[in-house]
Amino acid sequence: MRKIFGIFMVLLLFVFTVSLMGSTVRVLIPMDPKTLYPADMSDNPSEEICRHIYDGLVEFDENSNIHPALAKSWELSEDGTVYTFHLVEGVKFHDGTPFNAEAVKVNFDKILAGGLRRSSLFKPIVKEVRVVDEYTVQFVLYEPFGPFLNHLAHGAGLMVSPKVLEEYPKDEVWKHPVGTGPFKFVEWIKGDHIKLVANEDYWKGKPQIDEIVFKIVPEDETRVLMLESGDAEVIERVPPIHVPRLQKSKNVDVIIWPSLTVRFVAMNTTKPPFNDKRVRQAIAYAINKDAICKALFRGYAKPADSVIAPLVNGYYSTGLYPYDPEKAKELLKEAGYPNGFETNLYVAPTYHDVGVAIQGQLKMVGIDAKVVTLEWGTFLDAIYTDPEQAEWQMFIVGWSPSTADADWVVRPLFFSENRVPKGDNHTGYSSPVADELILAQMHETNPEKRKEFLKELQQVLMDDAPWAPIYVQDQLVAKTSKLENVKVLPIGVVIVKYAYFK
Amino acid sequence: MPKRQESFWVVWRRIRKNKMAALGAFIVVAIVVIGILAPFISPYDPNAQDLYSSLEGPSLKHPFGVDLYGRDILSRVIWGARISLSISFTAVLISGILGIMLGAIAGYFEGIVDEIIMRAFDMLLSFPDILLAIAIVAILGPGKMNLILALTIYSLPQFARITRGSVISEKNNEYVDAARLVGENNINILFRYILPNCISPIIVQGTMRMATAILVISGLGFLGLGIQPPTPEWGTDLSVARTYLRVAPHMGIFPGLAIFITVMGFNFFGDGLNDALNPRLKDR
Repeated sequence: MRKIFGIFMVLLLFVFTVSLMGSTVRVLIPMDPKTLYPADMSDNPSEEICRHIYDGLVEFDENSNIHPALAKSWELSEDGTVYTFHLVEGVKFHDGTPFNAEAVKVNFDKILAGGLRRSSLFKPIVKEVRVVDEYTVQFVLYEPFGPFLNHLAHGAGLMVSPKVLEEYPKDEVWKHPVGTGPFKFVEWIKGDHIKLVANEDYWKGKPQIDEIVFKIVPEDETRVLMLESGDAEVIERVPPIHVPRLQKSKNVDVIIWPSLTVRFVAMNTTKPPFNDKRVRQAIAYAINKDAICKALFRGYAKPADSVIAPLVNGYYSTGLYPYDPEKAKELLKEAGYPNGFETNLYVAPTYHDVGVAIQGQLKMVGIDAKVVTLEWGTFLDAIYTDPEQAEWQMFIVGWSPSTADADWVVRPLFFSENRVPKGDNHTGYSSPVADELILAQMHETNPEKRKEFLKELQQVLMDDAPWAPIYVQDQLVAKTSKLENVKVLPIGVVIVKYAYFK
Repeated sequence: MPKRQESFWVVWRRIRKNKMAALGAFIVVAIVVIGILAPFISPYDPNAQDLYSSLEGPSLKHPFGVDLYGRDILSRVIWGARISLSISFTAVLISGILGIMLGAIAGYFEGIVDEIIMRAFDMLLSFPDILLAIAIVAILGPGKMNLILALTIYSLPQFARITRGSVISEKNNEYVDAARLVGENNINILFRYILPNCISPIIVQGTMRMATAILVISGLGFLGLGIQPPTPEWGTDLSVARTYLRVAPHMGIFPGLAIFITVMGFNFFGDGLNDALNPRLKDR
């Protein structure tokens, strides 16, 4: 009897200690965030951490659909220029400041004043933010703007405590991350980790885990090893080669979720030979996208058939371009290059492997492309040179619309007025038809009609082929199987705020 | 002028007696033959891709397996020998000729000429080994010609120092005085009388330099600063293999072995030559 009692006491003590230790989720991320001020961030690690500290008026789910968050409902005026949001009542920031219409106005006034990395998402669109009453706020736009809710759901629309915004200059706000979110900021040891602790008074109910530590581990292999040895609960950017092995493990689950990033070959449309549409189409036909997905990404990527990815709002599947080297040779012949030509292919180290694979495939249709590998900084300088002066003829890079909407691809990258160096239109692409459709989709507030414009636009862009889209990579996240409800958003962010241990 | 020609067979016999040296000589000869015959003995085009068979291990069709792009690794290793040897040989030859000339002049005339030449080389020598090559390639950009240039600059001081030392010890010999008495000019004395007697340490140095050059080429390739893709080069291929080592070890093992065996071969051969050519060890 005494023995049983003893065992019982030991067990009780064990359970007691375990519950005292609390539950910490360690998430391994590949690099340090740049800031924790939502309106000033443009990198994934920052956005991921901010989405645990702050809430926005609206938010994305894992299919890029938009749901109410701090705004419980909204309506759009007849003329499409005034959005009225009704806010959730009784919410408080971590510092006790109440969340209300005034707080929303303070946040957006800072963004509209300019000088923040994400001012560009709102400044050209929003004329003013009006406080109607304590829990009603209006956004007055210059012109109707189709993807406005997507801009609001973007990380830049996360609400910071107005007290912090008023007390500190904009380049110090990141040191005081105070939001309404499920987790409160504890510490940020640069280059090592960021620690958050559960917000007991969260307006949607207390989170089920007590603590999140985002640990910075740049080496891919090390992240995998740390998960396997139990030194982490969640890891990001698992190298594709490790996925089959991890999937076999009983203690590990792999989450495979599409991203919004289309990787593509851009061609300089302002200079021969790529000023000829047929040559550009030939490149698109000559690339075996399926083989690249299978070999370089072990199948964890899908061939791309549009300039935007399937989970981006407005996507239309054009079915172009199937692998057809014969057709490519024919087009080259028509364009006056029966024996191909010599050209170059600029890549940053990340895309080196893809570059070499494409180099080999272009060789099969007679095109001799020299792969020029440059460090990121030098690479960006090269592609942000006016295309008429630029050295590059082709380059490989990826573009992810962080608003999860097609507008954030087509307008910066293909609108003729946004040509580099003014905007991001690197290829120098200029088409009156495309320009008209870009403006039409931008100002259309009826989602169905807008979809039609975008469909037509994608067909035009794929036919003109300033880009040969190659693939959309899957996001590969692995977690311990004890942890449930880890979500991966297509914008490239892992959400552990709803997670719990089994 | 003492004749050294007849001693070739003497040297050869000494090398054969030394097992390590013989192994080194065999490896060097084999690698050189493979490099020269690459277009004829390589089973596939080293750049022909087959993405669908990516990372497949060794098989009858591909004895060394295939790499990330489905390229035949055996063919790439064979062609890699050609690339590594041709670049290192060119670089060693150029730096040898220049280094010997400068070193000989410095050693023979001494004084201010010696000071200028040797202090300049001391500056080059003050850089840690491979760092100098990295710096040169990083400034000039990657590519075959720049690689040769970097390796040449990298090897120059070594040749100059060795030659200078030998010339200084040779020039006080009686045959030099004799030549001078006959009325030979300085250039003739230096290049026709003294240099031929300094040749053994230089040859040893050249062989050793080949090994270092091959290592530097692969090192730079591994860092992405060497030969640019798709040209088959051992170091570059090895760096691609890094990511896949746990799943496709063959991708790294074979280029790695190629570097190891070649460098080892040149070192053994160089050591053997050193023993065989060193007059002090003659009667061992």
